[in-house]
Amino acid sequence: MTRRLVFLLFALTLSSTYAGELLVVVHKSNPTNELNKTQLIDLYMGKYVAFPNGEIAKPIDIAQGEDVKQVFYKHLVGLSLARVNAYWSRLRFSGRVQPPLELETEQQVIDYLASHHNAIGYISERNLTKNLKVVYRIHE
Amino acid sequence: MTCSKETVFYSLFTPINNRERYVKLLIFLIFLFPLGLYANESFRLSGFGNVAAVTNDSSLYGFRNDMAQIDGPFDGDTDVEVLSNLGLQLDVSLSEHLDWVAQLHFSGQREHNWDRNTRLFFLKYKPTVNWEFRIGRTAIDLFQLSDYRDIDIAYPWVKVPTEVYGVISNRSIDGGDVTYSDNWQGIHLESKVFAGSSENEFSSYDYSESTNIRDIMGVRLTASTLDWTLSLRHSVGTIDNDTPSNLQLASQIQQAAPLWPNYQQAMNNLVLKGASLKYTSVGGQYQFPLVTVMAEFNQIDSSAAMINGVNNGYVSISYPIEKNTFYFIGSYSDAKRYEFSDSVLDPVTLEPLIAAYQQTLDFFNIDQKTLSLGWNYEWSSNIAIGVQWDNTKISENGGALWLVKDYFGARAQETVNLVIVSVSFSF
Repeated sequence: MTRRLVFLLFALTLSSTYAGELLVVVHKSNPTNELNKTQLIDLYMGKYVAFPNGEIAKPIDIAQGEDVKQVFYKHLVGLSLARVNAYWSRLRFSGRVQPPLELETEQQVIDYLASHHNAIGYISERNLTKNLKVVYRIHE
Repeated sequence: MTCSKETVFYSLFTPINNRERYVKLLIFLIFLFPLGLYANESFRLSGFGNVAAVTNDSSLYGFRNDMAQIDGPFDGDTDVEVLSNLGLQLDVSLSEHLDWVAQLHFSGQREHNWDRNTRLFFLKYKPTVNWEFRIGRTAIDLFQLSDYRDIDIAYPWVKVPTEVYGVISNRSIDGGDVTYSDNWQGIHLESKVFAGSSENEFSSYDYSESTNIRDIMGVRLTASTLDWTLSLRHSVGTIDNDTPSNLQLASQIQQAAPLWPNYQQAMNNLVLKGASLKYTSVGGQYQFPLVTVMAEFNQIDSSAAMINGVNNGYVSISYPIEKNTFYFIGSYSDAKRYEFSDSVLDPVTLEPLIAAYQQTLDFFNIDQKTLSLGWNYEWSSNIAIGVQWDNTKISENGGALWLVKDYFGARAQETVNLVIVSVSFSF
């Protein structure tokens, strides 16, 4: 019984760590060192999809693990995923702006960022690799 | 027997009967889902849709979503076609700065063909983050919601206010646009100019006609943050053709010239070709801590006697609470009615002709107010369920947005109730 409780507590801790510490990252060769929340909103909500130096950016979303995506967008704009989808449906299907490219897993996001210096994505802290640079931290 | 690919494709959407068509659409959609699995960075397939049932309690006025629709529910009928639609979009990234976008859209139309079903088909060139150039067929940007009015999942209501959007049936413009956007002190500023031509279809209960609009030029200025948006729009255009029914009526008036001294003016009033059109719109949205307020006020003006000036608008207040959104919309449309004042020599003989003339010049006489209450539920991140009740007060002869079975019959003042249930989705 005690073992089960410990395992449950451990699992809960892992879960909160996963959802609670998200890093917004770019390739280490990207000249951007830091972004503020407004800049990140502009990037991820299609308003001004560029880094501070003016280079067009490629924001990346994660398809699987909606909890990660939910934490990210709740922090960013305070909206549920349904409302974020409604927002993007308006922009996408009117032909204005394409939403962020959606990759299936965090590993795919990391691989993509490794080969695209103008891409930007969010991952959990434990998945940070040496060739990525943190430009924003989300503590929930 | 030979069949072209186009014939096979469109046979899916031929209105043999509604149920069969929707079953075919559903099968088509199911087969499309696996294609989405092949989506990658340079090829993205996506879509949206809405399945809605509408019930109307009026025996005089039949509901339609815009003036192009020729059929809709009357007198307790429930209709599943008038608001249902499906859109499929393909985005192809040709290079870092060049994209191609195509969108097919299917709704309760009488006729399907590539031209009508192609909503978007354009090349987009974005050399820098500030500038964007598009050429081809794009969504027309006349009013605040014009370019996403059929994307039901994009707004909490089950439909856009008919008072504002029912009068405009054209959804696309063939031409080009240039957009410049920038940030200024935390405010996103965007200006867009566009030019091109379009087609506006309108119908009565038993026939449908269209006018081409050429030399469209428009401008949109938008300022926004995440909490608020303010936009101004102004567009002009010229009607490029007369309709067969107007030409026929003008010919009949000419034949009655001996009894109608002012017949030449009456004939001129039926001319659409060369008439100017102006659309002006101011709209915005503000996100208060508890509620979101959206409003829009528009004016349509024309040198054509048939389009004698229309003012319309709406105010919406929505209150989101967890997965639910409760909302209220108040919308109105007010048009100047043409009052027949010609003196004729034999009013009794000319009565049917005068009635047809008056009815034709009243074609865009939209005088009504609607109060709507609704509820939207987020079933999942890409499926929403909505229920809306509309209570519309239509003034005498002001029901141009509605279908009327007897075109030359009396159009009395009436209060109409609609109940709409919808499921909207995207993928």
